[in-house]
This record gives sequence, C-alpha cells and structure tokens, in this order.
Amino acid sequence: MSRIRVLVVDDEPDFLKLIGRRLERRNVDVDVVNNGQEALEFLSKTFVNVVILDVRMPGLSGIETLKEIRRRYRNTEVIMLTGHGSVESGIEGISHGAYDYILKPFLIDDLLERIRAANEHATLKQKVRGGA
Amino acid sequence: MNLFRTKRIIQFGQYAYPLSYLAILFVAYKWPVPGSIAAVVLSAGLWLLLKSSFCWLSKVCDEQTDLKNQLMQSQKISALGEISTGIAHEINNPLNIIMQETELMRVALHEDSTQEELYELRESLDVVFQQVERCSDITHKLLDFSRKRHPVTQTADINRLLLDMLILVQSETESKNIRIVKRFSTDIPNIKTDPPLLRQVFLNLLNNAVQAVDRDDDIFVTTWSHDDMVFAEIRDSGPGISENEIKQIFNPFYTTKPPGKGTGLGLSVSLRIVNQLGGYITVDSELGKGAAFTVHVPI
Repeated sequence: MSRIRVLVVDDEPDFLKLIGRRLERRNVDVDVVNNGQEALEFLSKTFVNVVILDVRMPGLSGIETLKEIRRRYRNTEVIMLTGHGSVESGIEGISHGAYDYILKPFLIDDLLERIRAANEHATLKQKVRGGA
Repeated sequence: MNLFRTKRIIQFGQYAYPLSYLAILFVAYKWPVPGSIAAVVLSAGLWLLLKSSFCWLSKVCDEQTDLKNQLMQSQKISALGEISTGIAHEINNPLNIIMQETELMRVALHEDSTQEELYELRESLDVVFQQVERCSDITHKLLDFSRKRHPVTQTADINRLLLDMLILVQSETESKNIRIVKRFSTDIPNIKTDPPLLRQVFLNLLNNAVQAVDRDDDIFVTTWSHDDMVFAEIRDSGPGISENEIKQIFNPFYTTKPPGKGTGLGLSVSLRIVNQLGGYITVDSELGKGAAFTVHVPI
C-alpha cells in the first residue's frame, strides 16, 4: 500500500512543526502551510490524499478553503481541526463535504486513525466513480 | 366487488373443500365406480371455481396498482406545491428588499445628486449585493439538496460517530446547561455506511434538539440494534411537534426557527441522506411532550 500524503494547514508555526515531525515518524508524508491561500497554491501543484485544515485562520477562512478544495480536488478528503466545538461551523463544514472533525487537543493515534479512514473513503469513492 | 366475491369463495372453501375430499373418499370407498366419476366431476368443478376466482383476483390487483399510482401522483403534486411555496417564500423576501432598495435608488439618482444621496446610493447597492448573495446561497443549497450523493461504505461504529458529533454541540449544551444523557448499547456491531454523511445527519438532529430545549433540560441519545438494523434515537424534552407539523417537517425550507437561525433544509437533507444509505428516519412526538427522531440504518 502506498504512503498517505497529508497537508496540514494551520496558522500556528509551532503546532505545524510538531505535527509535521510526529506524523513523519508514523510513516505519513507530511507537508505544512500557514494559511488557506498557500494551501490552494500547494494543492495546484501537488496531489494530496488528506488535508488537515484549521477552522479558524486569518485570511481565507477554514470553511472557504474547504469549499474551494472540495470544488477543485474531488479526490482529496478534508479533516477539519477546531479549537472549540462550534455547532455552526460544524454544520457548515460537514455539509460542505468535510470528512471529519477533530478537536484540539487530540491524541496522535486518534488523528492517524481518522487520516486513514479519510484516505480509505477517498479511494473507495474513486472506485465507485470509476465503476459507475 | 371482485375482491369481495373471491373472499367469499375462499372463506367458504376453507371448510367445504377438505370436507368434500372426505366425502369423496367415503363414497369411493363404498361404491368405487360412481365414486371415481364423482371425484372427476368435482375436481373439474373445483378447477373452474378456482380459475374464475383467480381471474377476479388478478383484476383486483390491477385495479389496486392503478389506485396506488393515482395516489402517488396526487401526493407528488401536493408535495411539490408545498415545496414551491417554501422556495417562493424564501426567495421573495430578498427580492422584496431588492425592489425597495432599487426604488430608493431611482429617487436618489438624478443629474445633480448631493453627496448625501450618493452615499445613500452606495449603501443601497451594498444591500442589493447582499440580498443577491442571499438568493444565490439559497439556490446553492437547493442544488446541494438535490445533488446525487454517491455513498461509499466504510466500516463505522455508530456510537463513535455520535460521540464525535456530541463534542461539536458541547459548547452549546454547556452554555445552556443542557444535560446529555447517553444510553449507548455496547454490543452494537460495526456497520457498513458512509461516515461523513451519517455524521451530517447526527449533527443536524442534535442541533435541532439543542435548539428545541430550554435551559437545564435533558437530551437523551440512545443507540441499539435489532436484527440487521441499528438505531440511533435523539430525544428532546422541547415543545414537541403537532400531528399536522409532522407531515411537513421533512419538506425542504419548512422551518419553525426564527429567520437566520435555520434554513429549513436540515431535516430534508438528513432524510435524503439516510434514504440513500438504505435506511429511514422516524419521528415520535406530541405537542408538549418533546420529540424523538430515530435514525434506522442497515448494518
């Protein structure tokens, strides 16, 4: 099985550095960017299986970025990352096609499990579409 | 009429037919020759009788299919009517504002408009822009509603999916001091379903429950399984839903929430999703007695 390619989008550099290192150690290919705009630029050049997207970011908001990603890259799944549970952003994110939500702080194993499930979902979806 | 006749024949037959066999048996035992003739005649008669009742029955079946089609058609038309009303209402509000604003702009815009009038014009334009955005938001949501989803099945734990979505409503429930009572069955098998779609359904139902109850109330979240179905029930102690309203709550754009609080699409989208996952949603509610929504999905 090929390695999963993940892009983490968050405006906190310390968090990015840490999560990058931790996921790398779990055999996941990780790239990190600081905001939604950079994420879209990165995705236009490189295919990514799963995007971990912070809900609250300056500039392009998490939800706006999510909408763009879902519109342009149908084979990429998005997991939203949120500092606090918010129903409104939850409903908006999930109805716009976010695969899952994860609340900070989280355990790395929990995140990893969700990344794997999201990746499996994307692969299955591709197969369904290919077969249809 | 046909159905009635057939029913009478079968009703009569359930005693008469076995008895006639016994009678023939008796006659054939005593007088073999006339007995066998009687048996042949009787079986021919029986065959004719059953054949004609079969004809009547198939006629009745055809009639029933016709009636069903007619009923479905009229139900479709009436549902369409209700949905159109909802959409028209939703779009007419912003249209009305746009119309008022453009009328104002007509007055304010002339050859020597003052600075103040120009300022008003700009403000009106902003409002028009906002309302157009609102309209396009509505059409996007409609498109999303009718979108054909292609559910992808993954193994999922329904308790876990519910727990994840409970975390998202937590800040709301804590601030209103709502108690969430979880009664999760621990021996539910994992199900094959589309997790993100089911999450959306649970979040919609939980959000409705949270908005329906007052401070300090309870919400019960229960899961169980039976045969090859799993069930998730979200029960609130809110104002409940009248019998009349229950018929409408799954219609798109039907909402009882104040403007801006809900689009009226949550339940209709949820039902559509659950149907696409091979399940259905049931409602149990009475005015003043809270409401319970149960999601049924196959394992």
